[in-house]
Amino acid sequence: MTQLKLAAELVGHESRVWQISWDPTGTRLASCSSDRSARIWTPILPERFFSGDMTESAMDIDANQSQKTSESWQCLETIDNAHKRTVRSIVFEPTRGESLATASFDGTTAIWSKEPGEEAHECIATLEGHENEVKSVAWSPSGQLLATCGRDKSVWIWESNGEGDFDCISVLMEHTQDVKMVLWHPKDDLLVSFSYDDTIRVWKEDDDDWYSAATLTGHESTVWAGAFSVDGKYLASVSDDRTVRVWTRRNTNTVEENGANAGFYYRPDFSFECVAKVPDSIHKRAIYSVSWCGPTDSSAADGDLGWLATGCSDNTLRVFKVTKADAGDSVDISLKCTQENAHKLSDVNCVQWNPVHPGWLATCGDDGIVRIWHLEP
Amino acid sequence: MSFSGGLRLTDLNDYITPGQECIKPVQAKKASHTDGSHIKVGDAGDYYEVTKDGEESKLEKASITLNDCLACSGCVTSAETVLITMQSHTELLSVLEENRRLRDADKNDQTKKVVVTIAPQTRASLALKHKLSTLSVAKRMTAILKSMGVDYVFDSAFGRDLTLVESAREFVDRYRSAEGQVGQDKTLPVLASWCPGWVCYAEKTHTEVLPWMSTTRSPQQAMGVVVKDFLAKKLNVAPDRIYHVTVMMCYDKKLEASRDDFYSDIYRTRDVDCVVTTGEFDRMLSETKLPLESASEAALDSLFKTDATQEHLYSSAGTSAGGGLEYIMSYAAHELFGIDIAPEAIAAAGMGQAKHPLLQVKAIRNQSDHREITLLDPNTQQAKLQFATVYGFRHLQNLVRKLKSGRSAYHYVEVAACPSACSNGGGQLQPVDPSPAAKKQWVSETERIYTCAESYQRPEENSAISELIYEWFGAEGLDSEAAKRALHTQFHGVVAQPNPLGVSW
Repeated sequence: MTQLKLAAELVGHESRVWQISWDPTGTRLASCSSDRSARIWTPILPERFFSGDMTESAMDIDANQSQKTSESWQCLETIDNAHKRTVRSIVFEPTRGESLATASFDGTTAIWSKEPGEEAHECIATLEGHENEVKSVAWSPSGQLLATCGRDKSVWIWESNGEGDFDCISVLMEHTQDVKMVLWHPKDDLLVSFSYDDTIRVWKEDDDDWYSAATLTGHESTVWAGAFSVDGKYLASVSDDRTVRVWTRRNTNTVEENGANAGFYYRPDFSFECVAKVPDSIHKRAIYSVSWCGPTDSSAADGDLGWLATGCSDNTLRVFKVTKADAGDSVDISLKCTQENAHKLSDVNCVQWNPVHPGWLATCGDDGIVRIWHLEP
Repeated sequence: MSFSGGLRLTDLNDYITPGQECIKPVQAKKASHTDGSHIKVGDAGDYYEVTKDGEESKLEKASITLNDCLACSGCVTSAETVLITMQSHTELLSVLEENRRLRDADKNDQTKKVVVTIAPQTRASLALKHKLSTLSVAKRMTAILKSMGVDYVFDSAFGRDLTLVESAREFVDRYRSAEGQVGQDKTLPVLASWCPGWVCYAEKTHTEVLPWMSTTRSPQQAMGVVVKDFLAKKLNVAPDRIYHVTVMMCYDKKLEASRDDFYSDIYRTRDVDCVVTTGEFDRMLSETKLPLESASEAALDSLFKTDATQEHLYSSAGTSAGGGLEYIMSYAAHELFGIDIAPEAIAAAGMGQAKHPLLQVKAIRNQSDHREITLLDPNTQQAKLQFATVYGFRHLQNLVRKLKSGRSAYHYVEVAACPSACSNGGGQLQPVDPSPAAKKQWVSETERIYTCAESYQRPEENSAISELIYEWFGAEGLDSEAAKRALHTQFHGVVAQPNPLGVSW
């Protein structure tokens, strides 16, 4: 029976925690909150913690009464004067994990860096330009590009200029409503944005010009978040319509296919097709977050596409197994574990699988607490 | 954490409270007795405020003018398009119609002199679509407009000569005053202010950069004051009896024309009454069934950059942004350092067509929209003047950030809101094929037609302009107070009013 064991609780934020992000080594976790601060946490003995040594007995959520952080973890740093308003999104730089980006309702995105040997992160750049609240920041896998999006309906792409600062290289204004999240493809130079206008847009670059290469429609309400499968072949999206949809790419036009008129007539570069859907009966309310990791079993079968975790407004954390379906490109998604009241009687705002240690999951919620779980399949 | 985990009313961050973004604070003159009054809707749909005592007072409709509306990004009404169309070719047609009616009724003293000023970027766009030369486009537009009852057809490039000279003088003054030091106070850099899209954006979102803006009027508004002040005097007509229409490359020019700074209280008239975009003009031609292809050619009017034989249309060297950077660098090089370099040479080097020993041109990130053009000292090869072009929103963002953090080293920046500058204005004609590749091709063709002039004419070579300056302003010419008043303007930062409904306590 698949189970989620609560392994640690990180207490310290003074109001709801919006997002968490693991560093590329999987040993540090950053969190950001309505209390206008960001915090960095780490297990005191990471090797021992992730090998399961420190959680012989399952923790009981109600036992701790959430008074203090579990003994197996510590708060490394609190970035207090980060922003003038809620810090809504936080992400570690994915290649070396020495920098962080925080996006805030104050309209700015701050870049933090720490010299080796230094205690605290310093703000090395502030990216302004959004007209109002910035909702999400995402760092490309190469570490060179940053994407931000916000209530002003725009998606901004920034490029590192090598000196710690970023230059704006594109402002994309094709969404018709608030853009909730941006996400980079794990391998290709593709950016995906999720919006209150019920659509998902895929952005591509052509000679330094970014443009909308595909629009994914299907969700019946706000699309809150998304996650790519580890190989980047599939995209999962979650929405206010209580469904999880999985999409895959179709019809990449090649020059040969277009024939003599290649490039002369407009055709979308590619389209995404929805190949699977978790029906709206499973989640009771809006789904705010999704995270996709690879198979946790090293001897996993070929069709094993890993695990999907969702964080929902019905206060429940759910884990699904994803496998390739028999027919064509489709996938099967089956609910394996339900953790009710994962954040007591509060929304689960964000879920993130640890990128290095299989089966470890971090979640955060409106109760102001960050929890670390271990999946026992 | 002491808050209970029970029912909590979370703040609905997605809900845009009414008027939160609206930059037009509705000024209601309220009397002090506001307690207990409520609003009543009358039979005719008017609104009345009824006080506790039953007194009714009719409420004034809050109005949002075109000027306010387009500047705001979060407007509650979606009537922007309605307001824009209020200032379009239909207005011109109705003024011409009114003129005809008055003439028929023998009321000639009430008719208006109708003047149309056409931008060279508009001519380039029409030339590309209708496959004509820009000279032919100019002559045919003149013929068509005059046949419709228009009295004069002018060229905004003519007024642009005034802007070029005055901008160059302004730059040299500010350079001298700052002793060439950038960023000490708000004297340098000088930011071009011809682009109303850029001006509105700066006034609304980045008021800190306003002190750097050049105060010289744009070519459209320079023509506006030439027509409503100089021409009015010459024709002995009251300025409000002239109806001035400009045919321009974008919709933001309509905003510019309706600014309060360009409205004369004394004569109750705007310098430019109506702006028609290239697309609207083309639409008007098809609606009135007067296509350019079959039009005859008429002689050009006096305020046109052309030679005596009218065989050539003169242009000012530079990109479709107007040639400001090229002319100002040439003028400043001569005035400040005694270096002689023609604007044409600067344009050629800037566009990558030729190399010049005294110029260093660098395209940032390989983008032609963001180029740095540096003038070098002939003896020491040191940088004397560092200018830059910044076209398009994303490059504009980086410029503003650098300015705010004091990291900009430029002396002059030519700013345009549209990538590829005015050839790609929002009101220009569009290609049939909507694909991004075709659009790119179309814009670069328009730019090519615009910049490819058989002959360039610098403002100082335009004898008509020099005569006009001395006739208008007297012996002191551009140094006179009258010239300073006529050719300069101001900028007004919009102060955001915090909406009490939007504050979370």
